[in-house]
Amino acid sequence: MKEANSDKTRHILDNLFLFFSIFLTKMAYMVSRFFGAGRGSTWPGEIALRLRRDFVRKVAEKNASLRIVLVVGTNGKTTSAKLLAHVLDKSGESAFSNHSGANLLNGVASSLIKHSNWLGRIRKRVAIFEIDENALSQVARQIKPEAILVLNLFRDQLDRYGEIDAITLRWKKVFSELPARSSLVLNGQDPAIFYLGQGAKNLSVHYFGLPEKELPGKSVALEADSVFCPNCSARLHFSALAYSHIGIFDCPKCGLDNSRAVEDLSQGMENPLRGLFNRYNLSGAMLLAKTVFGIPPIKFARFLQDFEPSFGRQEKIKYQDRNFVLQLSKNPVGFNRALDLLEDSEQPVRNVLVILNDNIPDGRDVSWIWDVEFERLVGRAGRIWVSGLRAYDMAIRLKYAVRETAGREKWQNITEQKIAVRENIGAALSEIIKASEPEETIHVLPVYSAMLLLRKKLSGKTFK
Amino acid sequence: MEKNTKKNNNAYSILERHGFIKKHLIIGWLYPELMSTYGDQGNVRILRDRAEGREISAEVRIISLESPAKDIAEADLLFMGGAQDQYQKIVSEDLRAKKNELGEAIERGVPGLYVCGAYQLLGKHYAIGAHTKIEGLGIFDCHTENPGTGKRMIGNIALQAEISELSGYPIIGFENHGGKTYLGASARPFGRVLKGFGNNGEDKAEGIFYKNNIGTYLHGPILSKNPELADWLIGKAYEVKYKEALPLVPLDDSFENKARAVLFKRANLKNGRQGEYVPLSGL
Repeated sequence: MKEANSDKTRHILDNLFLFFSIFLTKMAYMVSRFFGAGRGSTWPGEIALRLRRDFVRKVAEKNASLRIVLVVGTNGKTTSAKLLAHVLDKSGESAFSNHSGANLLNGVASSLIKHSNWLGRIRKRVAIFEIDENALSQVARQIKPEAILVLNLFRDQLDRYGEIDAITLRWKKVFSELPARSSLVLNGQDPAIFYLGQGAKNLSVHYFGLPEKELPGKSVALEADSVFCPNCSARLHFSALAYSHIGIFDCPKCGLDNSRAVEDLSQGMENPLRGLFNRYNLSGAMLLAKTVFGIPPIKFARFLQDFEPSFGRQEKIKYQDRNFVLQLSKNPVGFNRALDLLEDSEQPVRNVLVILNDNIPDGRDVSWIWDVEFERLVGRAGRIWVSGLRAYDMAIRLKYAVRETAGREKWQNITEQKIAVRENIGAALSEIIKASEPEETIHVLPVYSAMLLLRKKLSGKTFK
Repeated sequence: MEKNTKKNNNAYSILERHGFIKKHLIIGWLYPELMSTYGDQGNVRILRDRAEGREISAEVRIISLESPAKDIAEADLLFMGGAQDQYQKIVSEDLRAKKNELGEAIERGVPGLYVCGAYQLLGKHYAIGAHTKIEGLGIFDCHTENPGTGKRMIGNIALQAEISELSGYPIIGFENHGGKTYLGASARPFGRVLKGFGNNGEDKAEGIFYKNNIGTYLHGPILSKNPELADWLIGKAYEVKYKEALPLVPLDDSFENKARAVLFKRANLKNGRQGEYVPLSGL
């Protein structure tokens, strides 16, 4: 009896505390919105977590019927989460997600605060959270997701994350601690991720991927990350390749083989997003929507008709009569996919703006630009404007790309014609506008911090 | 040595010697698909292009798991980059079979650049925690310890090279390592740390310098920001092969100079020129 009483007291205290912290952070959030001090995508959660380290768990416990899906991977998190939230919303499931980039525990907490009432209750039925590769363990300690969508794993900001091996080990542990029958929807064509799925016991594992006929490549690039067998370390044999190490493979030594593992529900439908990498995002989102929420492909396709890409992902902004197209480019694989889009462009690509910063969200190390296939950009673009804190590092990289395409004799001249460095982003913008024609499309390839700054400068007026 | 004399008397070498064909350097790129983190592949591009800028025909030859050991003996300049732990193990096993050729080349003075994981691999051993010890090749007089508990040493780094030809500018790059490397008593460091951690964050030494070979933790890739170092390696390779100095025609390094000016400014090194910054105590 006494124990039950103290349990009851604790329960009441818990609730009071939750109410107090939500009240406080919601007030702070409103005050900050009123004075225009940021969008409050991380710090309300940060405050709540400082007040109570298990804040996220407490809110999740209070909303036990809230269905939670986590999206992880190096590239495509924001787009995939947005695809899922959009389609679920349309299907009447009422979904919300965290802010793009606010994908640590404090971003999840902020999102919960924003969507809960003053008593900590959440009306919406589904939460789709994109989660940073390294934050998954921390997040999964507080909430047990019903499903995790795993997109890919590439080298990205190694100065922050350490090695890919280390990340897969941590993910493996997270998967092993999930409640039985939780769903894993995995990219079956990324060797390390496929292997994680093979080892996941008691979970409902599904693999997405693309059919061989859609995979353009045959040979593995030197900078690909996972071309050796995750099981036995022998060199994998790829019979078809999408890009980097994503493809159809088998191991000649231990027999690990993904050729029959994957399914693609997006066959034959129109993709609202350009690029092969978005085909993967779509394939993954559709498989999760079907296996976890029972949304058939045909409905998914219909719900998708009015979908708009997330900011900074093929985002179009009209500014001073020029059509700026922003494509966030923050790591080698993402950058190479952005170059695919540029190469596929039907119009001539006269001016391109590349912005390289080394602020903390971008990663302090800029070495990765040497793993990007800039030779393709030099071949396609009339003039490349280079800006940002590390503009000259980028200029050096581009100089060597010119050397590769133009040959030694014309190296110097073509470098001077092709590459223009303006460290200041504002100066670069105004000069590009001077150098371009009205209505011209100008492609911009920024790292994360540069994209945020640029969107502000371009004032966010969109065009269709 | 015998092999070399023989090689120099074939038809190709005779034509080469009499100026009928271009001087030729083979850049041996060790295990590119295993040892290429952090854009280290850029170093090979830079070596090749800067050699070709001096009217030398440069050939990049990949030396990997399936390659015969003689490929190492034939190379005029060697490069190996950093790797993840799993891959480093694969390479260290394969290199055991090529160890003699590599050791001989280095003793002959064939220059090489070994970054991060490769630098550790050429040392005596690599200890992880108290119980795991991976044997290295023992070519460099150094060893590495990774307590596994300490913070990784990450950030921009500037150092003063100990090689006299490279004293004009501090060497700059980006370091990112958990292992702490300690040099043997008679070993020379590649340079002295001006800003950053270096080998172990304790003794101000960075890298190792041994018979025209450099082991270092610097990424960036290192040669992209230190063109003088690339030229020095090319010059040494040429000297060892042709027994004469290579006249190094200057190339346009204006982007490189501006890129390092940005970092010198951040690190508070005025222009980065030797003598213009205040030397750290104990150097």
